[in-house]
Amino acid sequence: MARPPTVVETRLKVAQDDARGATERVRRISAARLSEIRRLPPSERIAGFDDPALTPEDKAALRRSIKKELVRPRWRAHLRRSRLRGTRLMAGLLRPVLSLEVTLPAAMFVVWLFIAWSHSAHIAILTRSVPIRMLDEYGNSIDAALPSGRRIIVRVGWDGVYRLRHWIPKNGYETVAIPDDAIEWAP
Amino acid sequence: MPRILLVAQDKGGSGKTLLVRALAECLPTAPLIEIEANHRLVELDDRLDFFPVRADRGEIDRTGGQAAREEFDGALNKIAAAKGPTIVDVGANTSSSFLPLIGAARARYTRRGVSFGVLAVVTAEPGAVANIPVLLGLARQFSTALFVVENQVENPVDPKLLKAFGKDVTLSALPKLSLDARANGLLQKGGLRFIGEELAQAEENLSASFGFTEAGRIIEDLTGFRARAMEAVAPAARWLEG
Repeated sequence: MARPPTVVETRLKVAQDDARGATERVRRISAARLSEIRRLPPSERIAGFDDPALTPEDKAALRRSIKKELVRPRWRAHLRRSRLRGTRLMAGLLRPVLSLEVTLPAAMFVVWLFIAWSHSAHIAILTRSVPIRMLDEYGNSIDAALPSGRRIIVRVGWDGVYRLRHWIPKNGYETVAIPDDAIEWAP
Repeated sequence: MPRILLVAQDKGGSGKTLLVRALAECLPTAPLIEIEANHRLVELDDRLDFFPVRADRGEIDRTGGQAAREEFDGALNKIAAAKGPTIVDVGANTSSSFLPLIGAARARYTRRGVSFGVLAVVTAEPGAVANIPVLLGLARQFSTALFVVENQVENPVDPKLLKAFGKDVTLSALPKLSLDARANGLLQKGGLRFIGEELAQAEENLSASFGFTEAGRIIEDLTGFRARAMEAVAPAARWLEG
């Protein structure tokens, strides 16, 4: 036959039941309030964080529910992050480039490149026959016609005029202006 | 055969009086003896005998052993006259003087059929931990049951230290509990007895004062606190009940 519960056991059980009952009641009230708040739009749900009826657990559940609806789709957030990262990367790369130590030598290099290019001769092909007059080693003028399709060496002057460069033995290069519609740059 | 449970810890602020209150809740008819500088268990006045002692033990020691012993005469006489389970709250800075007197009179108490148990309270505070071996050493001279309640109010006590208290000691713990500020105010005012006997009736007033939901939380905190405190002292209460 089972021993009847002692005073201590009975009192302890009643105390534990009281505590459990009080906890259950607080949870029940909080759960009911949470379901009311959840029916509101997210912007109104935020006020629920100050609701004294909510237990910390239900406040956390409310926070999750608001976050779920307010947070943008992941791919959009990812795209936004990627763009931001790209912008930052560009800014990071350009920052040292835009410094005086880099831009000044770079500008000088571009000027030098332009001068070098403009002083260089380039191969072109004549698109039509072009009459030319040159001086020979004795100072006599020579009239000739360069045929269409001839490969010639051309230099662009500061004035933008194309000049044919032609080698005359013992006299060096002679230059003759060529109309720009008569040439085509060789590939 | 009356059983006497002495609740002791020389370090103040260890939660000893709270555990005495919890024991009183476990055994609602057991009389109490309070040996303290200040009367604290006021809500239990209908079942309590209060014996004031001087707060400063140094002063007692300066007056000589005789004066110290005489100071405890009332409490020792009350214990000798006990008819059933009795809870004794031995105040801070008092146990190390009081327990040797029980030990010295052990044979006489035994002839009267009185048996003793000691419940010592320990917190993580070093002074409280250091006091336990001293108390248990004194208690082993006359006790038939030893209990240590670990009050985790600050932090848990190192388990190795708890184990070192001895195999003859029954260990239990009071977990760290956080109370709503208003709940704590009510606890300080009414003690555990108020929670057990009057809290349900006070619910309407609490709701009117603090609102329905907050009143619910106060009740949850207080009833939970009372249950945990009673669970912590349950092994000692079972022994005391016999």
